[in-house]
Amino acid sequence: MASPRPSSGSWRASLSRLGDRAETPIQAVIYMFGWSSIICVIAIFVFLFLGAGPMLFKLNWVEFFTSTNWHPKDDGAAPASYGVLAMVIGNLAVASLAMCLAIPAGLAAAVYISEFAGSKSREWLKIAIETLAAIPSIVWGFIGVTIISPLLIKYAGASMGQNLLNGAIILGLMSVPLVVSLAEDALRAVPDSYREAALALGANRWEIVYRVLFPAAKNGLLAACMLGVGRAIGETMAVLLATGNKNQIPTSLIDPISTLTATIASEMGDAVQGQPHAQVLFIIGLLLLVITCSINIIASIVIRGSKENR
Amino acid sequence: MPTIKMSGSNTMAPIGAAWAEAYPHASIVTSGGGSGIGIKQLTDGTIDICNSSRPLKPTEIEAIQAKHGKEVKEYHVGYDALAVFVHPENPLNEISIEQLTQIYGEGGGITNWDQIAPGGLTGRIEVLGRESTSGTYEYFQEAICGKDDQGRHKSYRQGISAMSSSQAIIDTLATTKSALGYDGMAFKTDKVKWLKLSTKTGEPAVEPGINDARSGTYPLARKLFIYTVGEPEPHVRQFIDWVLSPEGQKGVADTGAVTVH
Repeated sequence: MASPRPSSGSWRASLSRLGDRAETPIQAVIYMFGWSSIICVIAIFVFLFLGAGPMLFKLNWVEFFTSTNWHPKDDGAAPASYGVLAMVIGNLAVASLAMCLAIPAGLAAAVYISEFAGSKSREWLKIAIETLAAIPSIVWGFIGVTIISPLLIKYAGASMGQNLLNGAIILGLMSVPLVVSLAEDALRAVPDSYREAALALGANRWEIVYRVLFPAAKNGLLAACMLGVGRAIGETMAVLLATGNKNQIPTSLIDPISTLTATIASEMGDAVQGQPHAQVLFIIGLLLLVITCSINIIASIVIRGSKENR
Repeated sequence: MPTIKMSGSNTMAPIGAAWAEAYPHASIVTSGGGSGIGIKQLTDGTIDICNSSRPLKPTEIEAIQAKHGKEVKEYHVGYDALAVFVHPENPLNEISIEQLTQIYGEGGGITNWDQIAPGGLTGRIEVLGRESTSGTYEYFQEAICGKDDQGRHKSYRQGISAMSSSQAIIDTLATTKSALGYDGMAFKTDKVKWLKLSTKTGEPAVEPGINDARSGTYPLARKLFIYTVGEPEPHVRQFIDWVLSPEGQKGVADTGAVTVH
């Protein structure tokens, strides 16, 4: 719809006509940026597929998913074998354990900030959360090695300080800010009329939270948790330093583990381009991408599903 | 002032840093990552000098030849004794290569401390190693894991914790009572203890030391190398000559490694 025109002949009129004519190209540019994100994701998949190359067909997929024997170098006695089972279990274990720590803490903090904190303390808490989010992951890895590791040895009886629990604590701390800010946004988005209606019916503040706000903000809270999981699965530097990099299926919480992400990071430098080792590392990258995309897709379906049910 | 790009061995990283500080005629840019990464960068042509704590493999020499059309030049710049380290409170004092093969090698039988020396620590050994890009990792595998019947090198067993640098092994050893790891002798600090090494259990064990490393009495002594593609440029050649001179060798000795002579 054209904007209202001032009398023609004035310079304002020319500017307005220019604005109308410019609308189509500007629209085109914005469309292009919108589509570029989809194109980007497709391009990343294509890049990983190309990098993986012939190994996509030559790889023994059964061994890949069921064996714990990761032996990428073909050096004489044993042919190379690429079994990532221990790493997959390690990744999923550390991410789920981290979420067990981060989700309750994050939701509780979000509820406090949104519903119970005074406006002054709310400001400070939000600043603190944002600062926590800004800490680089390598610093978190450092904290895991220098602070958490001796604590676990002393109080949890761990024989080695870098282990599954260490990684989970660090990942949990890294994910809390994400969960808190998204969950808090979701809770704030619930209209005040819901709260007022519940108060009028005689609910106390805690009942308002878990009987009215949680069901109403369900979608946003779920999205917060899912994004937290995605963050935890894809994290590389912190787990590289804090988990011990031991390629074995963990039997206890204080066992060292290895992860898909840390394996790519530590072996990429030495795997020559075009060799099977490098190609298998690309395949591991594809696996990670598939896992995180699946989590996001499942989250979207669940969220959309519960939207329709309303 | 010309610049020389040097990269590679983690073991030689302190030596490289000492050289970079002391050398007056060029500015030296060093980075680490492991001998494997340095060799790959040398093949790609992104660095001038590669530090390596292991000799090049025939496949790597061929790759460089094929890519650049020049021979690889090798310079022997020092020795390093690879020591086996434990936590200082560990009562164990010596170990043999035979036992190390059983601890680190595929199909090895030793997993607990009481299998090495009864009366000392008990419980599972936390076995530490380097990651696969490390020259130290490769050298240790060749020296320790042994060969199979057809003379091919065996691999490490699964379940060894891969530490990201020589320093990381020392740091973990300092805090983990039941850990055992290998590292260059230059990385020893007061926070860890090294073991004397014998070839077979029961034979006299040798402590890691400069003269024993050079003479070969200490079983795990290895050469440290600098590699270039073809004859190095004049300013690089000048640096390598300096490295082999008493001043450069002082840098080697100050960091705890062993000089060539």
